[in-house]
Amino acid sequence: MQINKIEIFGYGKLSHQVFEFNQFQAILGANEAGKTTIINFIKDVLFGFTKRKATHPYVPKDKSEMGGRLHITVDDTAYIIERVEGKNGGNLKITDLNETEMPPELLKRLLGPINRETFDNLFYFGSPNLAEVGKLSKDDLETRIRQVGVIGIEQWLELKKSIEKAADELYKQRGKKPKLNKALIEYQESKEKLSEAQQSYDEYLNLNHQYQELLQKKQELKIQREHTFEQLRTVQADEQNWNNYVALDKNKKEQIELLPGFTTSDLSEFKELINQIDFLKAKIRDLQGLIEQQQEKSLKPSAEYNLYLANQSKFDDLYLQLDTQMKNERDYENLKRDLRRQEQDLELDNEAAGGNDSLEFNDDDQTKINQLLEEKQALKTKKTFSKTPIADDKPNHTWKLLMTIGLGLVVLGFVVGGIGLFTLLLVGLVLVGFGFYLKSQPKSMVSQEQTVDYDDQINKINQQLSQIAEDHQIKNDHPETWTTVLQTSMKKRNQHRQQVESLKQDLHNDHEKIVSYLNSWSLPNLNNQAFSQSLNQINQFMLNIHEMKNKIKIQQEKRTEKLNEISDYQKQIEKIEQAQQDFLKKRNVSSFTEFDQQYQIQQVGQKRKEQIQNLQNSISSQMIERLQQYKNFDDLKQKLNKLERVDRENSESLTNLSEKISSVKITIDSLAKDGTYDELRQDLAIQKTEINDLVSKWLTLKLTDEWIEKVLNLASHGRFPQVQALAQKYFNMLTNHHYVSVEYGKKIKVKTETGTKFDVKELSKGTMQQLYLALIFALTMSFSDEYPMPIIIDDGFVDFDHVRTNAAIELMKEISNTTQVIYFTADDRIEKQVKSEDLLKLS
Amino acid sequence: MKFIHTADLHLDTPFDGIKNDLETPTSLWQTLKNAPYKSFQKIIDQAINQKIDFMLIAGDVFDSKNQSVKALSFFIEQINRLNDAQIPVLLSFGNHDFQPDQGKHFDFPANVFIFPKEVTTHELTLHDGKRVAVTSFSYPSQAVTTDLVQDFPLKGNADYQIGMVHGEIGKDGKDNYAPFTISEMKSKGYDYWALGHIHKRSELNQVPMIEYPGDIQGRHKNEVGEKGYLLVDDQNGHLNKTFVPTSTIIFSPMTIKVDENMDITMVVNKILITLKDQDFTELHLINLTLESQTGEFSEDVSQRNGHDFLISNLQRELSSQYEILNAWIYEIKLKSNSKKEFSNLDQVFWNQAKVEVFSKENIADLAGKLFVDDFIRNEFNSDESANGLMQKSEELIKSEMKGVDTDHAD
Repeated sequence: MQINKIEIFGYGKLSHQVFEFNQFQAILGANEAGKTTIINFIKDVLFGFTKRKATHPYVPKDKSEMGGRLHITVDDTAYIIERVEGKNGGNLKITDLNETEMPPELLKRLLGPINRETFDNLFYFGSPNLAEVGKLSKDDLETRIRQVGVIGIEQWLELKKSIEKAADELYKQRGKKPKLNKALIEYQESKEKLSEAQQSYDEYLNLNHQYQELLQKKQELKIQREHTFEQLRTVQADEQNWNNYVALDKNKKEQIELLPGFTTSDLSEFKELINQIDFLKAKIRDLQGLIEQQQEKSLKPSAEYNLYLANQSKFDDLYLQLDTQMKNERDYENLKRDLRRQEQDLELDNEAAGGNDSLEFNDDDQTKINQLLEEKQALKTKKTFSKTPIADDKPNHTWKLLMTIGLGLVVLGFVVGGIGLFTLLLVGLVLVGFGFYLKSQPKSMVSQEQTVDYDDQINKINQQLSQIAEDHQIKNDHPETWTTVLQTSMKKRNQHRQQVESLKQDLHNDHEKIVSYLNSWSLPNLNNQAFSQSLNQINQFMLNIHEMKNKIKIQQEKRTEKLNEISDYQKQIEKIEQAQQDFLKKRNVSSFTEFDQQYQIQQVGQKRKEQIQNLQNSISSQMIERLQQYKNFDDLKQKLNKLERVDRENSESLTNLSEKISSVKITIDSLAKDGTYDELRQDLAIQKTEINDLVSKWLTLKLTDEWIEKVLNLASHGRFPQVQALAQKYFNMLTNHHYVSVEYGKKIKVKTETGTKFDVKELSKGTMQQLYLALIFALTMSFSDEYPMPIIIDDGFVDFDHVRTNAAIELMKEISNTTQVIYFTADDRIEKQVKSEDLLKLS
Repeated sequence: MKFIHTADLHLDTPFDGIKNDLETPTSLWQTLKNAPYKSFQKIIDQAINQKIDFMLIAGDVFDSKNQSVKALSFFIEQINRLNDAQIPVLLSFGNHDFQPDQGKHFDFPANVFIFPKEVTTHELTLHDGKRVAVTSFSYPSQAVTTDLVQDFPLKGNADYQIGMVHGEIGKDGKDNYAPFTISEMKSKGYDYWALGHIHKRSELNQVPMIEYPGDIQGRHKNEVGEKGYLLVDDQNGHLNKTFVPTSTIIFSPMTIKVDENMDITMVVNKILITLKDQDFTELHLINLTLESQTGEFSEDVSQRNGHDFLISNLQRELSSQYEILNAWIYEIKLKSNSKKEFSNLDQVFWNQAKVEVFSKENIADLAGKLFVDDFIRNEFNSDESANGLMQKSEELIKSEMKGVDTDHAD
C-alpha cells in the first residue's frame, strides 16, 4: 500500500489540509507542528476512530467535521478511503477513481491481517520504541535481537520477565522461602506428625483387646465369687444351727408318751362345761332374784279387792248387768226428761184446753154450744145490718169525678196560660185533693139502737156459754172455738194427761229397778248420789278390780315362767354335769383336779415333743448330713473362717479388676475421642490440594514462559534467514560498511570487514542499537513482502549522531524502493539530507 | 425380610480438593470432619428404628494404610448399638480396609460376621423363620485380581441367597478389584447382589438386582449428589429396594451466568442470590463455573490476581452465611468462550511450540523433584492435565496481553 495524498477535513489542529506523499517522504516539523497529528490521522482513517468526538484527543479545534481522506494505491489500483467520525469507528466510504463507491469490507481485505496493533508493532517506529532500545542492557538487547521475529516482542519479553519472577516466588528447585517450597516442607512435617499419631492406633487395638480380656476375667471372677459366697452362707447357716443339731441328737433319745384327751382343747372343753354350769347357775340365781323382787313388788290386794274376792261371783254377775243398767239409767233420765216435757206440754195443753180441770164436751154439750153460737151470730148480724146505709149499695164514684175535673182544669190552665192558668190550676188542684180525701174515708156506721136489743140477747147467750164454761171448768172466752178447737184441745189434753201418768209410772218402775240394782252392790256411798254417778262408780270399781286381777295374773304368769326357766336350767345343769362325769370317766380321772394335774403333765410332754419337732424341722436332712462331717464345733468354725477369707479375697480382686477395667476404658475413650489423627489426615489432604494448586500455578507459569520462549525462537527462526540476510545488509549500510556480516549461533557474532569477529556483547551500545535497528527494519521488510504497508518513522534517531543519522536516512531511502517510508523529524538537518521534492515542511 | 445394604463408608477418608482458604470458617471444617460419621450414624439409627433383620457392609469401612482410632472406635460403637438391638452385621473387607488376619484383632461384638478371604456362605435365620444365605469374601490385600465370583456356589435351598462383592466389572488390563461379569452373576441364580467399591450409586441389573449403593458421603468434587444406603425388603413377595439418602454434605457443581460488565461486588451478589434461591436443605459444597455470554469478564473479575480476589471476597461473605444458605463455594472457574487469537501472524509458531511444550514428558521434566510426591505426580502426570495446563497458559497470556495499550498518545 502506498499513501499518495491525505486530505484532512478536520483533525486536531489541522483543518482542510492536503498533503501529498512520495515513496520516500520526509516531513519536517518542529515540536507541536502536527507530526503526531498526521500519524494519528492516517491510523484513524485506516483502522477506525478509537474514540468518539466527545473524548477523542484529536477533535477538530474549529468544530469542523472530523475526518478526512486517504488516497491510496494498492497493487496498482487506486482508492480513496474517506472516514469521518461516527459510530463504530466512523463512517467509512471507499471510492475508486471513477468515484464508484466500493463496499467498506474492501478496506479490511486490503489491510489483510494488519490491524492497528500489528501496524504499530511492525510498521511504526516511534521514538519511545527506539529510545527504549537505547536503554536496554546488552543482554536484553541480545535477547531481543535473537527474538526479533515476533510481533510486539517487547511485551512478550516483559510478560516473560514477570512470569519468571512470579514463578520463582512460587518455587525454586532448591529453595525454602518460595510458597510452594514452604508448603512442601509443611507437608513433610505433617506427614511425620501423622505417623507419630499413628502409634495411637496400635495402642488402641491393644487396649481394646485388653479390655475385652479383662471383662471376660471379671465375669469369671464374679461366678467364682458367687460360688464361694454360696458356700459361705451354707456354712454360716450350719454354724447357727450347730447347737440345735447337738440338742437334736440328744433329744432324739428321749421317748415321750402322750395320752390322748389331755390336750389344751380338752381342757378348754372341760372348762367350757364348767363355765356353762356356772353360767346357768348364775342365770338361775338371777331368775330367783327377779322372782323375789317381784314378790316384793307385788301388789297387796286392796280392801276393795278383798271385798270383791268375798263377793266375786255375785259381783261378776252384777257387773254383767251393768251395761243394761246403765242403759236403764239413761232411759230413766230420758224418761224423766220426756216427762218434764210432757208436763210442760200438758201445761200448754191445759191452757189450750181451757184450764187444768177443763172437761171435754160431750155431744150434747157440743150441740148446745153450737146452737148458742149460731144464735149469737144471727143476733150480731142483725145488729150490724141495721146500721148500714143504702148508699153503701152504690159504689162511691164521687172522688173519681172530682179528680177528673180537677185534672181537666189543670190542663186547661196550661192551655190558656197567663192568669187563667194560675186560677184554673188552683181550682183543679183543690178538686183533686178533695177527691183523694173522699177515697180514703171509711164506710158509714151502724145505728146504735138496734144494737142494744140485740146486745141483751147476746149477753144471755154469753151467760149461758159462761155457764157451760164453768161447768166444764173451761177458762176460755171464745166459745166459738169450744166445739172445735177447744174440744180437740181438751181431748188432746186428756190423752196427754194419760200419757203423762203412764210415764210417771214407768219412771217409778225404772227408778226402783235401778235402786235395787244399786243396793245389791254393797258398796258404800252408792245411794247418795245420782244414778249415773253410782253406776259409774260401780263401773270404775269393777274396772279397777279387773285391772288388779290382770296384774295379779300377769305376775303369776311371770313367776311361773321364771320358775320354768329355772327348772330348765336345772335340767341343763344336770346334763352338763353328766357330761363332765363322762369326760372325766373317759380319761380315767375322778375329778377335775386330777384331770388338771394330768393335763399339766401332758402339756409339758407336748411341749417337749414340739421342741424336738422344731429342732428336727429347723435342720434339714442335708444340713444334718453336712454337720455330721464335722468332728466338733471348732472344726466347723475353721471351715467358716477359711471361706470368709476366700470371700474377702474375691471381693478385693473384683474391686481391683473393676478399677483396672474402668481405667483402661478411660484411656480407650480418650484415644477414641482424640481426633488428632483424623485432623492431621484432613490437614494433609488440604495441604495436598493447596500444593497441587501451587504446582499448577507454577507449572502454568513455567510452561507459559517456555512456550513464549519457544515461540519467540520459532518465530525468529522462521523468518530468520530472510531477516538475517537483510539485517546483514542493513547493518552494513548503517555502520558504513564497517561490519559486513552477522552470525547467529549460540551467541550472536558480528564480523568486521577485516574479518574480526565480535560477540554482540562486545559491541558498543551505539553499534548494538544499529544492529537492532537493522534487524527490525529487516523484519519489517520481510513482512512487507506479504503485507506491504507504508513504514512510518517518527523522529526515531534522536540518539544517533550525525554520521549515524545519515546512514539511517540512506537506509530508509533504500527501503523506500520497496516500501513507502514516511519519515517525520524535527531535526532540520534533514533539509540537507533529502531532495526537496521529498521533503514536506509543516508550519 | 428387611435388610440394609451399604458399602464404602470410608469413615476416616478426608475431603479432597478443598483448600483451607483464609475465609474458610472453622465450623465448616468441623461439619466436614463429622459428615461421614454422621451419615453412618443415621444409617444405624434407621436400621434400629426399622428393626431390620440384618445389615450388609460390602467393604471399605476405613483406610487400612492410615488407620484411625476414631474411625475404628466409632465403628465399633455403632455396631455395638446393632448388637444391643440384636441385628446381625455381615461384613466383608475391601481394597482399602483389607485385613491380613481378617479382622480378628478388632474384637468386634458378637453380632458381626466377617467374611474370610475364601469365598464363604453364611446363613442366617430370621425372626419369621426365613433362611437367608449370604456368600462373600474379604480382601486379604490391596488387590484381588482374579474373578472370585466364579467360585460362588449356585443358589442353595435357603429362602433367599445374596452375593456380596467388593469389586467392579472386569476390564481388560485393569482387573485389580475382584473383576466379574454380570452374566456370571446372573448364572448363579441369586436373589440379590450387594456390591461395593464404586462410589457412585448405580444398578447393574434389575432382575436379579445387582446394586452399588455408592458411598455414604461424597469426599471429592466428582462424588456429586445425595449419598446413602439401600433398604431392601420383600413385601408383596418380591424384592424391593429403596435408596435412602443420609449424607449431610453434598458436592454439587454449579454454573452461574454473569454479565461481562459486572464487577466483583456485583458478581458476588449474584452468586449469593442464586445460592439463596436454591434453598438447600443440606450443606452443599460447590465448585462454581462462571459463564458470560461473550466469554469475557470484567477486568477485576478475571485478572490473575483478581480471580483470587473474587474467591476471597465471595468466601468472606459466605463465611457468615453459609450455614443459613447451606452452601459453601470452594472453587471458582471462569469459562471463557473467546477464541481470540493473540497474534494472528504467528499463530503457526504458537501451535507448533504448544505441542512441544505441553507434553506429559516435558511437564514431568519441568516438574523434576516435585514428582517424587505421588499425589503431585498423579495429578500432573497425564495428558488431561497437560491439556488443562495449556488452557491455563492460554488464558494467562490472553489476560496479560489484553490490557496492552496500543494507542500511543503524544
